Amino acid sequence: MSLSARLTAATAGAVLLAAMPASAQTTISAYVNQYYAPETNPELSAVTEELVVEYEAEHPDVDIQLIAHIADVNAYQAWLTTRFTAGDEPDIAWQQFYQRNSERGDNWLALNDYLEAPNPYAVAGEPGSERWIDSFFENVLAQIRAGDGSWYQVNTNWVETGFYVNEDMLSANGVDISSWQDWGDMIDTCRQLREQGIQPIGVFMTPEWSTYQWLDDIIVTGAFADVMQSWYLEKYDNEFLPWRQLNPEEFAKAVKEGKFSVEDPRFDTYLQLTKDMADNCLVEGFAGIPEYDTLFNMFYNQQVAMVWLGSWSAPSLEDVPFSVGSGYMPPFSKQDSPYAIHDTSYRVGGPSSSGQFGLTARTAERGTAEIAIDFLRFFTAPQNYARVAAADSGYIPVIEGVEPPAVATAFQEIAQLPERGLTDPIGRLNQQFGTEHNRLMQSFMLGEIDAAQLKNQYQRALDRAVEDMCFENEAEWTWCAE
Amino acid sequence: MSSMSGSVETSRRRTRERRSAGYYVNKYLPWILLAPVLVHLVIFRYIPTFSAFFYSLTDWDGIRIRRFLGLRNFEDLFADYVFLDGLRNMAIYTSLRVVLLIAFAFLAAEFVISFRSAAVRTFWKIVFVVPMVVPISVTYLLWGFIFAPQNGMLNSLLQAIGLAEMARPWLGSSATALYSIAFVQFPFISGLAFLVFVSALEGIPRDVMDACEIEGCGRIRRVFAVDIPMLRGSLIFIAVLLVLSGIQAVEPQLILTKGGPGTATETPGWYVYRAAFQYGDFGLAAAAGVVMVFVGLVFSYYTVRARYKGAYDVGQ
Repeated sequence: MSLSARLTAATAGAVLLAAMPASAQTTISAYVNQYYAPETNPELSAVTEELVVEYEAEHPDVDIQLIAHIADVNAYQAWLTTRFTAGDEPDIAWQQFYQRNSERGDNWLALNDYLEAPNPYAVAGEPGSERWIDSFFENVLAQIRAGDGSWYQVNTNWVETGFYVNEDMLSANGVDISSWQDWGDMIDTCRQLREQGIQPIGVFMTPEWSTYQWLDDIIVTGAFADVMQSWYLEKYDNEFLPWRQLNPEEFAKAVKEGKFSVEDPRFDTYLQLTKDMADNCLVEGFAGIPEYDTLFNMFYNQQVAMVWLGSWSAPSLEDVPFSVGSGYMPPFSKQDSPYAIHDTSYRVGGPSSSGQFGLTARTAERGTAEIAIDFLRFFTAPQNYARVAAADSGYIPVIEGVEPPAVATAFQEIAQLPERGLTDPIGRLNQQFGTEHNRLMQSFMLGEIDAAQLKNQYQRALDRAVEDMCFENEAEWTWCAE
Repeated sequence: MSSMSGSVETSRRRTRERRSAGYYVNKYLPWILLAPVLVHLVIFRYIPTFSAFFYSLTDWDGIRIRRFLGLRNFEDLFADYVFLDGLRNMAIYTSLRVVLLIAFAFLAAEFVISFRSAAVRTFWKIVFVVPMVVPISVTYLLWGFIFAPQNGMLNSLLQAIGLAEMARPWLGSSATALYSIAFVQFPFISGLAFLVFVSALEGIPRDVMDACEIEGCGRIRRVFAVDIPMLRGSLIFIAVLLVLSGIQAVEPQLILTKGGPGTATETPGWYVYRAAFQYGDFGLAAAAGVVMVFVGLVFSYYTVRARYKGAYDVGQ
């Protein structure tokens, strides 16, 4: 063999060797939401990367590919939808539980069987070591369960929302929100602040998701509280939750049976409370503020006295140039709403948070489901998730044995309140209904349509949404045909 | 002798071969070079466009088709007040943008060509073209600050000049939101339109200008008697581009208003985006897209027809 032939053969051999993997590796792609945001949250991302490195060290045949956080939730949804359409979705992905539960079940894997199996990474004898499901809070599991009875996600943390107040501004104007006894007191305070040229409460409102929806959740619950429990479906009954949030199926059935209707006097109460709040309390131009960060900046720049934000905002408010306090909506008296049954307000929080992870159905087709689940079990094992939670202040972990960070403890009192009876409008029925609800309420709150016009269109939106959802869930929602 | 004629024949044949090779290169090279572009256009433009016609007749959710719906998506579309309001808003928004952007760019071009100095003209060309490098999303974010309800730049300016009673939440009221987003980019000197108009004005033959001057044209009369008729092609070209971009606009909704308040700033483009990416109703989105394509085609057809009807262009 000539020299050149030998050189050619050697080169070809080297190329072939280089191209051959040392051993067959399985790649798992994971969108773990803000737990991997190297540009905006490098500290938290570093903790997640550490966990990935440790997992890969234990499993040299697995390669975990983290996908960087997409900050805008709408952009993320567009990205995920495009991935689903292209058949190129990640193995593990984040999704709002109520949104996933309003989708058909075939994009995501049901996790029931996996949840019943032990988590091999849980310490022996600790929750999760016998059944993975035991490491998650029961009230969370009850809330995120889908209409077909399955769990499509594991939720690792919890958020709360509430007022952050500019205490300097309020005390300079003789206002103390801790003295509020009921909704009427809050409205009086708003009027007092308005008269002094101060914008009382900062929220923003768009036809899409916005912070206004949290107030809407409280108001609609206050207006319909006395009948909501009669809308519960037996199959979702939970002995631990005598009062709980209705899921889309229960609400859809209440609409179909006329129990939630614009003809109900409770709906008039709901509209009256909403209008009172919009006219007296909400920052002028609330319908022209496009997003959350703008609202946050308005509070920072002292353009509003109070702002309704989430527990996750607490760390960012540590360096504001004034004293920041916190507070919450007061309860509804019988004068405010004859249908109120609780002597407290309702908490707007829950597992619609940063840690909601499911397996896409494509994972089963790829044959990577077992490994993806194994990584999720590793990630949610208390000793591992505790490290993430410690770097993720502002969120309340809901895995047994993981302590909340100090910032989040300020919201623990709010977490004791009964939960809102209905979730955000975009999660009550389907997305279309949510957008339509927001659009109509926006026009109503701005005084551009009256109650009669709103009711006419609102009932149609309700009926159309229920019709669509019955079609989507015809196999499970047998009452639709009755 | 015979060997000589043979070599001549060989030489002629080779020349013919060379000629024919050159001929084929000239004939097919453009095709070869354009082929990648053609493939790209077919895959990413024509196939999606034509497949949208098919999908608009189905309940495609982005992954699978479960039912063939016939024209039901179109019925739903035209029964939906949100879509109809969107069409109306699109017409208002697009008309305003076309008139304002063309008028201001044309005025700027007229002012710039009135400078005798080439250096001064170049300076102004650069001034008007540099903003083209700023992404449109940044522009809209900036205008979000300008329109902000509390201490926004516009409201602050109005207060500073004693017009505080005019201050309002510009994007937070149905009465002003659509006009506010149409006002974005004031004073509307579109870099592309400006460059096209300047080039066209500079291309008007000198003897036409001279003839106009001999006839006693003033500046204003020259604009209407010479410049506008001679720029007809350019004006219509820019108008078509602006109308198509107006029909497809989603940036103002995405960044500033989300289509609200109510339906005040809804447009078909935003409707398509929301139906597809938020509701997963790709069939309905495709139907709305088909309507948009139809509107764009009809407008383009009549515009191009008007463009050639009795037109006289620079260089003709």
